[in-house]
Amino acid sequence: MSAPGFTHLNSSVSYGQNPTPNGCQNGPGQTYQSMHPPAGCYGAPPQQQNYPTIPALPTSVPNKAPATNSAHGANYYWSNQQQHHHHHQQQHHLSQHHVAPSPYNASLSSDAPSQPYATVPSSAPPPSNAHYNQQPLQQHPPYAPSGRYYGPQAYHAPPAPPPPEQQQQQPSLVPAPAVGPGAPIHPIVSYPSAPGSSQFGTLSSFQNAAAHGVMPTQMGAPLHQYSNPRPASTAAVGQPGPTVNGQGSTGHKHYDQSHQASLSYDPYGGVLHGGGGADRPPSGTPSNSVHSSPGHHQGGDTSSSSTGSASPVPNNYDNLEGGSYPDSMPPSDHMTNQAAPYGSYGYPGMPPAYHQGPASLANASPSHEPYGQSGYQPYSQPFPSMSQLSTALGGLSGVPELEVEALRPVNLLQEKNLLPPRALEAPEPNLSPELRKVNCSPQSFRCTLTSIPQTQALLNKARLPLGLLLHPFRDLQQLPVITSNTIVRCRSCRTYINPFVTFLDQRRWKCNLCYRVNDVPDEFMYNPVTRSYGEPHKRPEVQNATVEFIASSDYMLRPPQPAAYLFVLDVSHNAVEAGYLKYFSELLIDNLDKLPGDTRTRVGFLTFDNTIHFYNLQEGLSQPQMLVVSDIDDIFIPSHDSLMVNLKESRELVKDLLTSLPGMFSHSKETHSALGPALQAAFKLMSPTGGRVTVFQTQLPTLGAGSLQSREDPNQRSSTKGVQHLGPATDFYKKLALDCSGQQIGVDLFLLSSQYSDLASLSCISKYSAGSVFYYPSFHHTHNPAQLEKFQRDVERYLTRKIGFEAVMRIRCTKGLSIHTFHGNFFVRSTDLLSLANVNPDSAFAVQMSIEDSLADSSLACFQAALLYTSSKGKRRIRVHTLCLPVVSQLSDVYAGADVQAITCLLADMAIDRSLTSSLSDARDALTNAAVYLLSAYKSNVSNLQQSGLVLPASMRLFPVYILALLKQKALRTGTSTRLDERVFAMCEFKTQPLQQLMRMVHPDLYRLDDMSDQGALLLNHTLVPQPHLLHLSAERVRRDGAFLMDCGNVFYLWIGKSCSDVFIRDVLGCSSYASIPENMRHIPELETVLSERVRAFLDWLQDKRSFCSSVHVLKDEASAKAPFFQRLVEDRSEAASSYPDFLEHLQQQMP
Amino acid sequence: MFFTIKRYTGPDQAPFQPARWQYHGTTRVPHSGRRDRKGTLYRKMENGGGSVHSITCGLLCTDFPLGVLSQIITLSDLECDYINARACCSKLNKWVIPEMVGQCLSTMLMLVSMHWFTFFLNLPVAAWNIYRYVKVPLGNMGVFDPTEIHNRGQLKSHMKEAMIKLGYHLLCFFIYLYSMILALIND
Repeated sequence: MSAPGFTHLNSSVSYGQNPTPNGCQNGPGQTYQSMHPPAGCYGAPPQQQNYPTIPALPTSVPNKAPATNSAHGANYYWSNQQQHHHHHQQQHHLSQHHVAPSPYNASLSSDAPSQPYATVPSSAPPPSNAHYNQQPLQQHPPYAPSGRYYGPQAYHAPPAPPPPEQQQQQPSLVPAPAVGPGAPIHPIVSYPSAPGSSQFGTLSSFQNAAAHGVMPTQMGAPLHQYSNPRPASTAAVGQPGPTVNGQGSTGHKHYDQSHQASLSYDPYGGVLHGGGGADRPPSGTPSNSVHSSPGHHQGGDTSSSSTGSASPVPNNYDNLEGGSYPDSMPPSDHMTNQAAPYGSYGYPGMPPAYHQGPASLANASPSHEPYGQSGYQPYSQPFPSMSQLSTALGGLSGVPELEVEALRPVNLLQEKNLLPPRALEAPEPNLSPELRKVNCSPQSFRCTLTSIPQTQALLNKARLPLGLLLHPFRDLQQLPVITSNTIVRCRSCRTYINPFVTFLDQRRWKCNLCYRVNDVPDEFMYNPVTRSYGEPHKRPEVQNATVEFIASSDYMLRPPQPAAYLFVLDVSHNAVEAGYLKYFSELLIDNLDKLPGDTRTRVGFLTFDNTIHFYNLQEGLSQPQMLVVSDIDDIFIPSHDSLMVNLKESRELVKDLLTSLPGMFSHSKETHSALGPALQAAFKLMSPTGGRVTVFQTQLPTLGAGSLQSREDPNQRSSTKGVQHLGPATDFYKKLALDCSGQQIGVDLFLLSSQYSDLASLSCISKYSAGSVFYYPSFHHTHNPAQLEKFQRDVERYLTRKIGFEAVMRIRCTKGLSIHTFHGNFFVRSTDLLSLANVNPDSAFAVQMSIEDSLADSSLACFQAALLYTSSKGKRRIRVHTLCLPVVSQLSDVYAGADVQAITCLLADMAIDRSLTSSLSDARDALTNAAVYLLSAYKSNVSNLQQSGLVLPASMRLFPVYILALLKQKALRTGTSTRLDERVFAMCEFKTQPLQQLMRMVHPDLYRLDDMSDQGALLLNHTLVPQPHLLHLSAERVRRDGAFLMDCGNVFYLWIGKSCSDVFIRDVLGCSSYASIPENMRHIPELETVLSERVRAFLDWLQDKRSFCSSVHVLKDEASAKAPFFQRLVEDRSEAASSYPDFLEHLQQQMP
Repeated sequence: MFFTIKRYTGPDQAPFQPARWQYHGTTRVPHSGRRDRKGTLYRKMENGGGSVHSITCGLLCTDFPLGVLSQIITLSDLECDYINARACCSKLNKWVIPEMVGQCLSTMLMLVSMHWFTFFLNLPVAAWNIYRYVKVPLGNMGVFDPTEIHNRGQLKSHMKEAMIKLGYHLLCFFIYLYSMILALIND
């Protein structure tokens, strides 16, 4: 099996990603396969038997085999989410994982943050994938940098579409594996973390100092006013660790491969793809989803239909995930009990990969392959990568050179170059190397303080907010998926077992959140990786901070719902004018096959102007039937069965409808909009199943319930009273959203409007039903091509991205910590339980925490976020992220571990809250005060230099810049140029965007492109990606004779100076001279010049790191065009805000 | 009620989940005692006859502590996860207006009957209730908003407010009782 891979990391095998497949294939594997034929990767067969309700699983037996053991065969599989498509997906994986191979394939980027270069993959541009993929596959060995244990073979296997076939084929395909001679070798490289016991010990040193001066101040941060301590109840758990970026991820990758096995089943369906590049619309991947889903599903579908409608309203989701079982269910113990029946499906042989994950990295980094790793590393490294450094340091013991660097006092008035040469990375928590390796990736889970202060007093003294930023459903490249009869959890706080627990002995483990001692169930004693008993600490759950469990029926209140999508379309005159309908219909037709789902997938359509139109799409009709309901005061559903139809059965009708839809209303003169009643109808229509409602709205709703008045008065924008009407005008939308949330309906809003539409009120419908909001101001299909393009890209991504239904998320933290405020789109059901009707991979959450009891008796603080959801394939799954951070007692340590980006994002969220509850000017003052307080706290407590001026620790040196940038954001700026809707939308984005994206919006990355060289470039998949230095956002850095790229997250601006060299213009833009550059240039032509290739490689590389595609705008140095670019130079003076030096001066004056 | 609160805070005190979920969903019936008490009191007063004002006030004021008590119980249920935010808030919001009206009414009565001391005792609370009601933002679902209640320590502050009110109403209750008896005796 995979084992071999492990041992020989360096060897060719290493590359293989798919552990499982290999395993199977390789010697032992095959035999097993035959033995356990039924077991799909998912181990579906067994499950089905057990739980009839779960339809989807059975699908494919495909790779089966992960389970090497006879007994445990099916269960384990690692899924990559993306796998849908055997071929394509797999290919992607390969490339991604291996980084080296195809740089562009998927955007792994997110995953491997810390070591971006090493592990990360860049995601790639779609088109190229195919080509690259193949190469990588074959060549893996060479590339396999980080020890992918599983040989490439895995990939080969995937190609075979039909599951059963695959099995057979695989073996043959995989000759290579031969290498892996003996499965036996599971060398466990490291099982580093495993047992926590030792860990705790090590850290202890920190605590001692402890309680020292307590500051009188009440608030940690200025915004914090409310930080009340939480009742004990909340705190239960937590264990997470800081992030080990790259490493962690790499480990996972290994698993992924194993997933391939699961591919057939494709749990994540097309949707999941999202994670990687695959999801992206543009990318070549589409094929993946298409094929995969249908094919895979078939198996599973059979049972499907029943699920949706039958069930009553689930009230108790909280219980499910939460810690308690619903009333009806057996007490917690039951889990173990149940195990028996399933016993046979244990964990299949996990690939050794787990262990190696971490280890491999270390080894790998240096140089196995020419391409792979070395490629990634910049040729000239300014300093060793974080991870390397940390390893070198050997963990806690020493210190912390990193810490020393982080604490270096920086005088802001003197140092002008504060930006690092490359994009800022999340700080590494000061943990032992083993813990670091297994810790959760900072992209999924990040804490504002990577060293948790011991007491609230210390936190207050530091004047920094304590909070978590979560991106739990992010598209992951690799993710261990575990099918097990027994999901091991703490009996008291219900924490899932994780790498940071302590094994007291073979049979007992101590929860790291509540410190209760629990028994290790029998099943857990079996280690699928080594296929031996008695090594619970080597189980994948204990080796990975991010894992996904396939949940049993204990975690269901009703059979998993099918994917259900309802589109609610505005067809009033205004909408027809804007012309979105045509583009939407085209996109939906194109992506119909890529909608995440299985054979049970249901769709429905509903249009409205002053009446509501339903569409009967019942199979068997010759054409869609429109049913008009004009009684909008008492809305009713004209037909119950035929409005939400099975996509597969009624595909032709749906296509017919979409084709004719744009024409049907082209002469509409109706200007009223009855959005409220339409939403009520949508609610009634979806109540039986739950699902996703997508609303397109183009104007202010004027009829029926929920009608609104225009509240914006442009003349008031500059009034001294501040900005009014940031809050909703009515509670109609909020109430409806809560109803929706209760029925597991998520509502996403696309607002395409040229006039004021009161987004503040409308957005409530999404905010509390865990939806997302998209806003396209001044959308018009011909007059505003930029918006149209953005709309198309967003909708495509939106339609194809992964989705989870009927989800709940619980965040647990170590005893003593409690959560007191939540940010994001969801409904907080109880103190630590978020109810998410839908969960999508693009939205993030944040929570603020307080320290209620001193953490002095523990050296680690842990956090665990568990997301329980139903995949689009009808599988109930639990994704668990665990983060572990050290607890410190010294103020300087707190500062050394401060994560300035996370702090900025959390402060932004707090400021938004403040502007809603109080006023905008209050919020702005609070932000400024945050900087002032930090400066004075640092000055009086830590820095012993008697310097005058503004001194901050190096870790926080960018804080004032970021605060200034926040103050200049649309959401928070003052002045007359910001329209109310745009402001409100910017606020919504602050609350829901993941950190990286948000930071790029707040403080864009600026690069100079015309003098890029290959120095320091990354080598990705045979392509050199130049790495220009980051520049400060100030006009003084921008030169007339240059070309500058500004990366604002959702858009790139390429600004061409007046005297930019003609060579650049010719080679990159394909224009003869500056004057001939067209006005609205929106793409970079593909020219065969060195310069062009460099620029495109760089752009692609940036692009791969995000899920929504960004467009490129070429701007000339002309008054009319350059505004968007110069507006974002946040260090310069603008309309109503000061420049950076002025701001510093202001801060200095404010300091006591 | 103090019991209730003690008993349920802190999940860690319940080593076994069963306690948690068994209670879950069952709505506690905090009001059960009210009718009896009220009835009893009412009868007493009838027997005694006496000052109309005192009696009415006494009537109103007995209700307050009970109302506040049930509020506290509901809030602590929420805190301990026995009911969800939505149910909790709709329950609490129902009592906001009656409480406000009752408080204003009794304040008015005091004013009319020129009981200055009790009038000034009641005035701030009545004012606070009105203020709180008027200040609810347009988009909120009432004084208690399910989407906000878990944020920024609102739950805590609601709890604190309820506790203070409870103390206040108990104090008033005894004052009224005292004055009622006094009035009866004087009669």
